[in-house]
Amino acid sequence: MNGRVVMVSGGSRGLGAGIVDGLLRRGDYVVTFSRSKTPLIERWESDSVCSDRFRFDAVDIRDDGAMESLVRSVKRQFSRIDGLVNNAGIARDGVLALAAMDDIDQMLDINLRAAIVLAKQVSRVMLAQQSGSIINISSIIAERGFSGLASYAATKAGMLGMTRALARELGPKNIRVNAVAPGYLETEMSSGLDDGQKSQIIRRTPLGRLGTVEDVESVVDFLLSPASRFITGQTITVDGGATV
Amino acid sequence: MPPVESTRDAVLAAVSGAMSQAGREVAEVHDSDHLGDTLKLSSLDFAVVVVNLETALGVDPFRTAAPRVQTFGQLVDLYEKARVQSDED
Repeated sequence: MNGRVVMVSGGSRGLGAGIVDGLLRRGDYVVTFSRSKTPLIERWESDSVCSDRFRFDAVDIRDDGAMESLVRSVKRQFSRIDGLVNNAGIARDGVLALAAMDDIDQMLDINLRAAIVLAKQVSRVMLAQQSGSIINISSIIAERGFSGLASYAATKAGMLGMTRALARELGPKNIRVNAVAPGYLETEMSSGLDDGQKSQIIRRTPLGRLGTVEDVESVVDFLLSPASRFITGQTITVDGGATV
Repeated sequence: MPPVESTRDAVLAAVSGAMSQAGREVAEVHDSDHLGDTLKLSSLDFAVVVVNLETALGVDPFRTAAPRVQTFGQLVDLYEKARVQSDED
């Protein structure tokens, strides 16, 4: 079987969908999951070029038992898992003092706890095969902070801590763990910005534009590939220089 | 279903495999051998033993708990009990 076997959490829309699309175009076998199907998922499932390399499961990433079953099932189907991209995430903005407890819990559960649980399950497969690459999708907000996104920033900073600790833990078994920290991207998550806010971000970005999912996907591909074989525990910022 | 084999043989194969992968000479293994001090298995080596035994025996006694195991004999005993429990379930 040629092509890597890669699991991508939250690949039905936004950045996750861009990562899935890029990996499929590169010839990889891709498993993704989210709570519900989107038209994009249906397109991949019926695409004659990639449907046999694509698998979607409708599961809630907060369901530990369902995630364990999914990882076992993927291992049975493909015999290995070469890569995990912990991408699933939600953002709820607003002043923390007024934030709903449910919103705080959901962000912690989906953005951070689920990523840790998924890494736990997939690392068992990677330990058995003595190879693998785990990529955690963080954010420049983890390091820089952003008013109104305290809980979100905490979860994304938590992913960086997990990245560094897990890289030390799994490195001796040839499993690499890295993070990607995108800046503002042209996705649904930035659609809430008005033109003035977008212009301000672009003015502060040396490369003069918002990022695209392709900008991030190519870095994910690099971190999955042997070209990055001596890189682990690192965070690669993809923001056009905005945080320089 | 994993092939049925002796629990002791499966545990010995998993421990020997982990020692070999870690570049350690695999000599005779005794029940009283300490997994860390005697056999020099690191915690990560031990994790590899557990995931490989799950594949071989279809059980993982560490799945929901963290039983204290120090010697090879205790590890064999733990997996023998887990297999019996699994058969009863």
